[in-house]
Amino acid sequence: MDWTEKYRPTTLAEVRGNDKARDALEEWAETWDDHREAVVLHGSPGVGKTSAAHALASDKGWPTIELNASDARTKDVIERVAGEAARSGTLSQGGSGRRLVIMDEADNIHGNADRGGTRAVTSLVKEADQPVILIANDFYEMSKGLRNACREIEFREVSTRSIVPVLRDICRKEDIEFEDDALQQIAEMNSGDLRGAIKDLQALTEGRDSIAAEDVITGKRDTTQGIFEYLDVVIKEGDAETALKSSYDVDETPDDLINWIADNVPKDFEGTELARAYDALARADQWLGRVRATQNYSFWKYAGDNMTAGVAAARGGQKGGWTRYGPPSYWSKLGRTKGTRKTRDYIARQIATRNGTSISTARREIMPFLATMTHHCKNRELTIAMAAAYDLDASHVSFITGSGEDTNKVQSIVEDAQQLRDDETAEASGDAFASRSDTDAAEDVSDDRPDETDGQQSIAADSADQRTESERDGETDNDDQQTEGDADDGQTGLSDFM
Amino acid sequence: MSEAESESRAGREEVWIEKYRPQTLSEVAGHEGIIERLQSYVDRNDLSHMLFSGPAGTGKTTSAMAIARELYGEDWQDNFLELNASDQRGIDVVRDRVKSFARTSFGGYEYRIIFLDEADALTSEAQSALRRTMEQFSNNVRFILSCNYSSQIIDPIQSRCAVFRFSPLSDEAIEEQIHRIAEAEGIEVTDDGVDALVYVAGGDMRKAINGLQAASVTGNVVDEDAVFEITSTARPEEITAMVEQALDGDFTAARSELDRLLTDQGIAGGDVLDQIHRSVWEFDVGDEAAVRILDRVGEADYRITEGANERIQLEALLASLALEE
Repeated sequence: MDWTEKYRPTTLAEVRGNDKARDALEEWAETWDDHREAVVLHGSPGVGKTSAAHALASDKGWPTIELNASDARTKDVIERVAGEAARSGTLSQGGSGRRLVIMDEADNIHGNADRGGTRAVTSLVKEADQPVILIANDFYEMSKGLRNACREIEFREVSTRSIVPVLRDICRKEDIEFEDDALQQIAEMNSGDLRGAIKDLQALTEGRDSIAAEDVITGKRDTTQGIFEYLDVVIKEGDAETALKSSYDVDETPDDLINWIADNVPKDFEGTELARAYDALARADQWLGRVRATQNYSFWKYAGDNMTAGVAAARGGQKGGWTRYGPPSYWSKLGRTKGTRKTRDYIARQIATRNGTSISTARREIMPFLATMTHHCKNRELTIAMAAAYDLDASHVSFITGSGEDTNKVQSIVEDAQQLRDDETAEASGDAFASRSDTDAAEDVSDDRPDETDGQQSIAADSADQRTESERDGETDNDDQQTEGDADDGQTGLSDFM
Repeated sequence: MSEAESESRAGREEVWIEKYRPQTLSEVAGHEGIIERLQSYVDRNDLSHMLFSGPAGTGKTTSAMAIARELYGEDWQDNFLELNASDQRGIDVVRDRVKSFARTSFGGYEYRIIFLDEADALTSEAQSALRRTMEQFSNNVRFILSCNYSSQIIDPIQSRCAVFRFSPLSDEAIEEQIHRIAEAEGIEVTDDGVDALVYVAGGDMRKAINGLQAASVTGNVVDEDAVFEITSTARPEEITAMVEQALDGDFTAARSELDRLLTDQGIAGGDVLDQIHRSVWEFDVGDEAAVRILDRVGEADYRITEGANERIQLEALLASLALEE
């Protein structure tokens, strides 16, 4: 039997590696009667989102109604489910009469196949009189309306530290002897994907009753050549033909392989050699572009020819010595900035919509000025007005101002902006009730103090670099260091993009 | 003699790639590491979802069927659903066919197998639909997906599967199989015939066996000539000769050789390109020139795919070779 199913947690307490998210989910369920919001669980594959949702249902004794992408999710189907959920609420069963609606792959409702689905989900979320959990890999693939209608809980990649004990438990239950190093390696191989780690453990222990560190290494090496040995062949020793033939055994797609090679070639090549090698890489890249444009994967072989045989041929003779090759540095940078680029693009889109400019104009001509004017939220009124006008949340305000997202300062600005928006709506509708924002604003001013001492923009850029360093050393856990009102707040600032 | 004669004639009424498809995992050629792991899954009757990736004719479908045969014996066809994604692609196939197969009741077995061939042809929407279905029915169904390029399969599915990479088969594995079949069918294959079949196959067992069967129909002895003729393949030495004429600057001679290949032998332009690409290390040129030829071959291939005239592109390729060095 599939161990990922066999050992799926049955209660929330057993959900591993995402304690914060787990607690937030539990809190959401406990207080659901008060807030009646839907929640969206998002994060990479294999980190336990679906498991957590089902474990919660079983903890609370709530029957579930499931709706996933393998069901057609047209407007009709969703409305039927919503109706069912609402009806069963009145037939008080099991005391509370609650039903938990779980919708998997909420980032994946497609225009054509699921006609009207997106809007129907949004209205389901708003109107279902039952707790709703949406599950998504990519929060920002969901429509904005849907995002705004939900509470958000992020599931992070599961750390090696949390994966190993899970593997250990399974080994004990399956009566498998193990070396800790072996489990450690499996966990590392799967960087953050708990499900993948369990799959690998099952595959590697298939038909045996023990697992040692060597087993893990040989399990990987049988079929594929190590990338570092391969780089040695291309960059140091092999002739063109050998370089090409040994690339067949490397378990990387050409899109990744070209980055491995391009990043490491300059460590050993220089002058004309380097120019010729880059010429070959550029041609390889052109082929990759053609593959993307035509979706004709048979062209991959020409990309491979150029990046392997081409680079090897550019070298005159063999090279000696040992070079420290590393993974493409642009990867870690990309990983670091991916979320940030999404934030930037969201803000630019909001500004563009409101001001009637193009998104790129908003990014080039408007955002830099906003950033200067609201730097570290010093001009509080303006920052609030900006957040209200462009409908920005804390992460967006943090991005523009450079102040930490979790600081009281930013949080209070977002609250006041919300208040301001509500007031404006109330005024616009000619309603003279509700108006109390003035006092709120005054109370919050004191939070600004610690920040005003620094104010140097360059620090933000430095801190971003330092962060890359520490990520390389394997410390990705920035949570603990979140400090309030500190310029070194680990945010990648707007300045990185201008 | 007469007995062998009638036997082989009988054999010709069957397609050999089906007739000689391995029935058990241990008969599957090459891939010892993969087969060992699959065998242990089967021995423990404990399958996970699997993804087989690799080029055509390397044993993906054969391995999947062998697993089913070992698990279910005679009933294997009732418990093994093969879907070809490139025929029936789209979100509906996953939802309807897979679901109905997964749901129907069946006797005696803990789970059934769905083999989804060419899974990389599924749209990413269909793949997303598939991923949850895989978990939902994992109590009673195991999926085996096959694809040419595993990077075409979305991450969430890869994360749910044990991935097996089938590489092109070794020349020895193909040679062995040719000898085995030739013996069973009572046909004579010359040594150069075997070499030719291995060359034509290029790691693809299906091509080798089809070539053998086709060549055996035309005569009693399968030799080099029969193989190259029946498979519309130029001899490696013809390709080398043509390219070397071009490299020496004798474009006229090279072009008339090309003409002979395309017109008299009826070889497709794409196949000529493919053969130049494969033979490049045989040519008498340095490494840099070899790489430039590979790239130039790609250029011709690309232009032909985009609709250019293959004769002109091939001639331009030959003419450009004279410029090298």
